[in-house]
Amino acid sequence: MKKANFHTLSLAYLYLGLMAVLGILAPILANDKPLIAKSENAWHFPFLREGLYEKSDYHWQLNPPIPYGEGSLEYAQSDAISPFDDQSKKAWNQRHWLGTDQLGRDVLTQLIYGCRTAFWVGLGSMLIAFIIGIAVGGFSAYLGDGQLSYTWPKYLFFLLLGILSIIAFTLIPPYQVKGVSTSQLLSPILSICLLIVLLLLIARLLFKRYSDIKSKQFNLPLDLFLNRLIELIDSLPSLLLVIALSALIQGGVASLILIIGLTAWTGIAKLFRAEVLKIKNSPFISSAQSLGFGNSRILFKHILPNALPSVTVAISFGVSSAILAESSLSFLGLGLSGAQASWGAMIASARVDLEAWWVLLFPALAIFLTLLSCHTIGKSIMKQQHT
Amino acid sequence: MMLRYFLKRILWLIPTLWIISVVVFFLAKATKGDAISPPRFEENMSLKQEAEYYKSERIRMRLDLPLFYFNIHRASQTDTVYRIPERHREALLSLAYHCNNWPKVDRFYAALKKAAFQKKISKAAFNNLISSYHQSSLKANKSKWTKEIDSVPVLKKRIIELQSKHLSLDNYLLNFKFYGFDNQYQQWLIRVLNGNGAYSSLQQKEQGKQLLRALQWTLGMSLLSLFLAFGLALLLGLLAFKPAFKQFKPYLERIFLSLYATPNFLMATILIFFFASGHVLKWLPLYGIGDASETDGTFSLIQLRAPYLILPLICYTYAALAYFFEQVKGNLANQLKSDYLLTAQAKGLSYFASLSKHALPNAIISLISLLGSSIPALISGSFIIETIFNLPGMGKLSVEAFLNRDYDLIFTITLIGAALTLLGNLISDFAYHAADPRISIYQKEKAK
Repeated sequence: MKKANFHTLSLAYLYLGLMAVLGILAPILANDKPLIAKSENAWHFPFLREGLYEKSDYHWQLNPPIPYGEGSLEYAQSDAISPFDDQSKKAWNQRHWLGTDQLGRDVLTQLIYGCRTAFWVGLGSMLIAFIIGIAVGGFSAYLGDGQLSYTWPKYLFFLLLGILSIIAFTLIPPYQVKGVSTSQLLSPILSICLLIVLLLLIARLLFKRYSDIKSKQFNLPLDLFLNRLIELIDSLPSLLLVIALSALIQGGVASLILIIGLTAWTGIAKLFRAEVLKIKNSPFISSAQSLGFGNSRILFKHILPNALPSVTVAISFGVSSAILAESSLSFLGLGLSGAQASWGAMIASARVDLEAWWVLLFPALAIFLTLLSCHTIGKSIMKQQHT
Repeated sequence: MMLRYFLKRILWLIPTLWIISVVVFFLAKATKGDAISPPRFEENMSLKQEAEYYKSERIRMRLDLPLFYFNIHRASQTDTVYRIPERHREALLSLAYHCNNWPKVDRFYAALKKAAFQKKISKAAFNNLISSYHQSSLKANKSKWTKEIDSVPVLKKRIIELQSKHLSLDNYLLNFKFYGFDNQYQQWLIRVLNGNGAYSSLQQKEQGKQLLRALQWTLGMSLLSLFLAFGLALLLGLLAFKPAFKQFKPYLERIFLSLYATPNFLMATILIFFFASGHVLKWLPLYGIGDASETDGTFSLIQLRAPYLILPLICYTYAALAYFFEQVKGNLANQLKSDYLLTAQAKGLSYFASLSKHALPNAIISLISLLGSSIPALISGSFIIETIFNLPGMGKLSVEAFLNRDYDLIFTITLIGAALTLLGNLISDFAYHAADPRISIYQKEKAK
């Protein structure tokens, strides 16, 4: 039993690694442009060039193993080509090994570029979520209960700072940045920065003069605030939130990654917070505190290295849910534009004509195995941590 | 103590929802795209007709009200920004920044409008002069439209006035303006609270009804699937621990892990392929909810609709089932280790009776708190399932709204979704407490 578990786990890692390699190498594996070409006096790398490829006469050229690009269409055929059809191609590598879809796109090529999309979405959005989650979780746990206590003039100052920064944001023109010179954008921000510096100086002077006001300190309920924020974000259905935000931030894969990252950090934050709380109460931290180490030293040198491993569970589940979110959106036609390959969009296109089973089967397998691998890895890490 | 705690929770609900509503409102307003669709036959319209069209549309959509209760703006700009039509706002505000003086821009705009309405200058000249952001480009444009501008002395005077230097710090100063309660946000909130949503491409009156009906569908389906998943998970969890079935447990676990890893759109497509498309079997209808008339009795309605709802229900349920099963399994495994169960079995209770009478109630309690937190996932799932199976629920409505760029509707639905989840969390916490009064949720939260 134990051996079998190990086996599936290594299979999961192997599969994810394979997908990552396929995703990274996608433009080299499948492209309608040659990889390296030699003309009379120079070497060319046509696959690096954007835009349409015009066939030119090279002395010698190296073609990618799959001679179809992300957007290549098979014009001659109006129907989906089965992998078992007699495709009557000139060269062996022109064969559609996994067939084509109804539009004449090579399924294998789409699958490989879908890998690329999934890879970037999974990695990129989790990176964003990781940074936000660690910051929020760490602050809320470490500085949450009674670590941050200030005198009331300082609160007043923070309040002012908050109001001013809000104003700085509202002062960014409500109209589009396009056509507005940068000085117009920057001037209010700069002036407010100046104001803040001035206020800081005044506050310093005041604090020095009236230091006896400092007698009473109040706790900053940072933990409460951040927990409310997490609760707020968790209470919104994630797909709805992503859809609503993608109405706001429009664009390609990058904006999708940003949106998914911005909505997916709560799980990491919650887990990290719990872990930091646990570690914070352990004896070695209190001894560090009694030695007089600063907050940042304790946080970065003692707590972070011990708490970070716990987040790996949330990350491995998070990667799967990020990929799931992207493919769901693409399935609904709300995600990436049609030009970019995505497993979800492939499955959606398979729904048009279920007779062409190969259009459904391969992306379905790819996405299922990816999610399954992520879950398997997450579960095994969870088990490891419990024992 | 607990009563006070729940009262506090309910009171917390109000500010939380209010904040969400404000955020959602501003998100809806910030989304790009014009709220007013351009008139038909815009090319043939005179400027006056066009302006009247936009004016009437703005009044119809209540866009002529201030956005929010208050506004903080540059002193060089007007506090009645909301009165400028949206299509000119950006240009005029930019102009105001460069001139550093709003009254000048206002006079220029008025003169320009007057000249255009009296057809003294052409439509092209009007549009061009409005959208010239900077004074420099205004100068450049002037040469192009000089002849037309020269024919209107008032306009010429205004343009020269715009170009004169006006030194002031207004661009760096701030004004605060309180508008009172008659604003767009308030109007929107009232409409949402009336269950009327926002205006959209659909008919306003119909929309309220549609939203309510959609809510009923989604809530009905999710709750049904939630209870189905809950019951099945308990049953399967009990069976999995029965000694006779113990050999099947690893397989069951693997099946549920695979189910959990299957995206619902994939599951739906596969189910359709096998059971509804006719490629393999044609047992069930593809999509829709069947042609039911209002006069049919409840029973015949159920009979008619049941085949349509089987596949969607499976898609709603399977992931929640896998998740619950995992939890039930963990809980029961913990209970099985406890002494009281050993005692129960020692005194002669059968395996099933000892588990279902003693271990199950304990396992259920910790599951109850999961019910509330699974609502967002169910709503997220409804998007895909309702779109695939063409059920008239919230998910389908919001996907359609998104495809129609009907952002008001999307954000209204977001608000409703958030309210539902918060309420669900509250109810499940309450049930958690009711099921086992010893557990203080207050403590549970502290322990978290």
